[in-house]
Amino acid sequence: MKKNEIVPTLIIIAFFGLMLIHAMGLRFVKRFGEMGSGFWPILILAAAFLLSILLLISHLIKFQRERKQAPEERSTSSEEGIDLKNRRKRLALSVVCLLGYILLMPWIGFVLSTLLYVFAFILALGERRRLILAISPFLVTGLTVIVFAKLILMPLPRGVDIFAAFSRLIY
Amino acid sequence: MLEHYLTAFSTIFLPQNLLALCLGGLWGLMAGALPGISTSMGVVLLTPFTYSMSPLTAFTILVSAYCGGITGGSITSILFGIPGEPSSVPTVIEGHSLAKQGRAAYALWVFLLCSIGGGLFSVFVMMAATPLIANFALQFGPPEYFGLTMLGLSVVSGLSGGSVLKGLISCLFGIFLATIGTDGITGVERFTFGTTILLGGISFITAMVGLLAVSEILIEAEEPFQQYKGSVDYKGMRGEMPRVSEFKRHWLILTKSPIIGTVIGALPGAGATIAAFLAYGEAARSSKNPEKFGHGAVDGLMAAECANNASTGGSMTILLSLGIPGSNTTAMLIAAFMIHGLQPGPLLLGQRPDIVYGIFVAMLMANLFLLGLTIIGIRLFLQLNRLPYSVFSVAIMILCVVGAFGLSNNMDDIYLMFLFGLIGYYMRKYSFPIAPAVLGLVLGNLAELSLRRTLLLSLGDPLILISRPISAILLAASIFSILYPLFKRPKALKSV
Amino acid sequence: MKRVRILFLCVGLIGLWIVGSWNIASAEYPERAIEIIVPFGVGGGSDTAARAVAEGLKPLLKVPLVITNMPGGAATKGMLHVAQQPADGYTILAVTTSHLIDAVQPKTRAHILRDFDPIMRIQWDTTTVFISAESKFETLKDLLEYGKKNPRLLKFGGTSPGGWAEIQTVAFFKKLGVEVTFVPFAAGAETKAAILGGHIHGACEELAETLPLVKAGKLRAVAVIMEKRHPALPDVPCTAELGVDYTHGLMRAWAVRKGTPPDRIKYLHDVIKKALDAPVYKKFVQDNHLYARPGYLSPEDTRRYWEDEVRFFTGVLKELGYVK
Repeated sequence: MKKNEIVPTLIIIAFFGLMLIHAMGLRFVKRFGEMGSGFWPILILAAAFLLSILLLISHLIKFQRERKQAPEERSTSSEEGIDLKNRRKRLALSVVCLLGYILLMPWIGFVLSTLLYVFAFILALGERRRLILAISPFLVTGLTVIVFAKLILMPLPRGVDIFAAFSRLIY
Repeated sequence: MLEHYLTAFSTIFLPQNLLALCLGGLWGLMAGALPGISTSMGVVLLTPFTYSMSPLTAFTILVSAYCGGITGGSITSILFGIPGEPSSVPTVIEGHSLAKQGRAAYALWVFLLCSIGGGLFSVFVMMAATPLIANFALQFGPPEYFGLTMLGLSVVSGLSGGSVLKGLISCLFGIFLATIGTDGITGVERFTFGTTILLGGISFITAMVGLLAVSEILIEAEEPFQQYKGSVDYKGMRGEMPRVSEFKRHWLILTKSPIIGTVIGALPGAGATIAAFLAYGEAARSSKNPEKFGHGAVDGLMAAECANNASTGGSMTILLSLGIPGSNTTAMLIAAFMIHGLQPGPLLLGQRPDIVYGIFVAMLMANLFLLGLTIIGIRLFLQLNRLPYSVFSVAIMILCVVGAFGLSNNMDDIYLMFLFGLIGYYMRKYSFPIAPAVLGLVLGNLAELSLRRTLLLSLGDPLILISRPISAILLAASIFSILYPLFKRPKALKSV
Repeated sequence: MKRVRILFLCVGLIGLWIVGSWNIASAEYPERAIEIIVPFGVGGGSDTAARAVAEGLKPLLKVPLVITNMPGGAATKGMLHVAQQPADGYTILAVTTSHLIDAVQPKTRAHILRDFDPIMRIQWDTTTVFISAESKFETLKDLLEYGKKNPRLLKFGGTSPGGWAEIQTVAFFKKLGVEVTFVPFAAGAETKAAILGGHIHGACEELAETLPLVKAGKLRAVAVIMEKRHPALPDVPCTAELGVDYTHGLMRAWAVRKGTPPDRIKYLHDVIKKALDAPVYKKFVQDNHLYARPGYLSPEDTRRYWEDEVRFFTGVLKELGYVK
């Protein structure tokens, strides 16, 4: 699959550039003899910045060459477009599930958030078998709680107020 | 000396010690296989139970758990792609790729034989040459550590896959990540942007679990559900046993790696992680088909596993001869020594030879016992594959989340892991190799700090780096290692 | 559908186990597990110390005692966590000297003096100044002579730049009129390896960590930072003999969030005090040579001691240029 690599390269350049500017503004502390807290990060970031510009240039050259050679190849068929759209949708769904999970966890506790997450994520993956949808959230959550919260007493988040009281019933 | 070994062997076969060996090994294997419990955590949790045991039984169980933890971590790495310890990252990269190609059982065999082989090698070296290795390790001051990290970083081009330029950027990104948090020389905060989440810096495991495991689940989640065939396929254990000829072909790597592992394992502050990466990088550099690295290269897996397990013996040498822990887990063993009224150190060998040789023998037996145990245990692990793909996937994700949480019992690591999951996803999409980033993250901090320590020692004179023999050799070797691929494959630089 | 039945059975069994262990609430104060937050990683000095106290405390409590390690941010992440928990006496913070140093210039929103009430000080450790046994220096006097003639050429290692290790090293030598170069290392093990290898001259560290190597003749202790000689090292002079008014040591205490009901603090204080007499803890004190000076301080005295220490650290950090 052909990918447009110019935009990500620009993002990388922007990232290293911003960090470089930030590094320049770091409080420069040093001990006698050594080169201080700012030297190494600036060195690394400057090198990364230059190399990513080099990468951009090489992409641009390649891009130019390819456009000259075969301009008609770049049009994507509608079938590929639908496939790409579906891929993006599935990816977005799983990222949203995960984000929701980790944001909710400190508030509603590990047990409830995991139950919800397991259900939501396997649904997002495309699981439609009712039995698996019904059982696996409880199975996965139960096993995790037993191993991590009960056996090795990991202080998994319990949530706040009423959710904390609920979590304490279990672990 | 010989009679000490004979006594040690006869005591290890006492029923209570054999039982300790089994229980410790099982516990360690479980702790290591579960993300979220590190090997040291496993040893800590076991320690209170050893209060009432006789010292030798106590150490047998702890040492066995230590060895088991390291083995167990690699099982999770190969089958699920979650690195349990920073040292198992090469195993994740190569072993899990093999597993995805349906050769999980093969990868497990290779890992088992190599890690046990590496472990045994280092135990033998430890038995024979403890004082020698410890004295050599003491020669390593800050300039030598800097040379070592440079040598480690110099293999980056070997790990870059197709594009050296992208590999370098990826590596620099990793080194940059390592500078986040408190500066180890002046104590000032860098790149924390006033937040508490980045205050302690980015822990290796958080970043690695995100970059390697979470990103992979995201990649797989993208695929249409029906086309999915199962993340880890396997044939029978027996049919997948590697042939002797395969080991013969890689004899050079199989000799180099355990030596690297034992020596570097003895350096406090370096340990298993750097050992595994150096051996892996060396294998990549000297390999005949370096393009296979990152896509299931057996020699890479062999090198990393040999070195990783050989480092246990290395860190035990310096613990026993000098009382200095080479790794987190050996630091825990010191606490266990104290509980039993023993002081690890040069005096121990004279005062309690039964304990010291007992530990040597226990490590030897633990390695052998684990070989048998894992061969049986792997069948059980492979059964997990029968789970529906969706459940398997979600279970791995939850293990990642719990594993990140367990690092410091804090939500912060989970958020960082999520962020690194996204970064890893885009790195994979745009074919930026992940291994160099991990290499940079692991070595970056040590490289910077040892360079600055060196300058502190020399009051600002950089010539100290080349006026000391070991550091000069290491630096020369790293320059050679950087330039070597240019002569060998001049095309490598051109193809971006 | 045998598989289905097995699955259901699993779910049922797990449910039974969870329901079966529901905690039955009782009214009196410790009605559920008490959690001790150790803001350092597993296996470190603070962790083993807290675990030793907990070992003695467990039989005295009717509720479970859980130790949770929350490393990060020079012990401030764990402190912040405790400061965010309800002030109900169920979360205890294991305080060390690093929190007092943090109070000079807090890294997080939490402040040890403002947000916490001490339960008690538990330990007060002793620092030794040591060099390699192969060093050309025999006594502290040799070291000082050399250091006065060659400022900055004496190199002393230690962990935590700007933290306890640097303060005790630099402040101690400053009192003696010597300027040393402090070389920060990541862990005590690395510092000791660097001393044994002859890469740096010495370090100032807690006695228990160095004693085995001193006894083995690999390291040489030249002074203990205390008002009297330490029983474990009777031949080594103390700072009082050397005419230096400097006796600071590493402190470990336990504290709860400010606003915890006084009767709960009192309960905890009494029960922990009893735990300090347990044989397990006594053995820990013996093994770690903490018997030289009394560790225990009452809550009020602990607070006064903390305030004094913070004042001292503010002065030192200002001198070192960390605080303006």
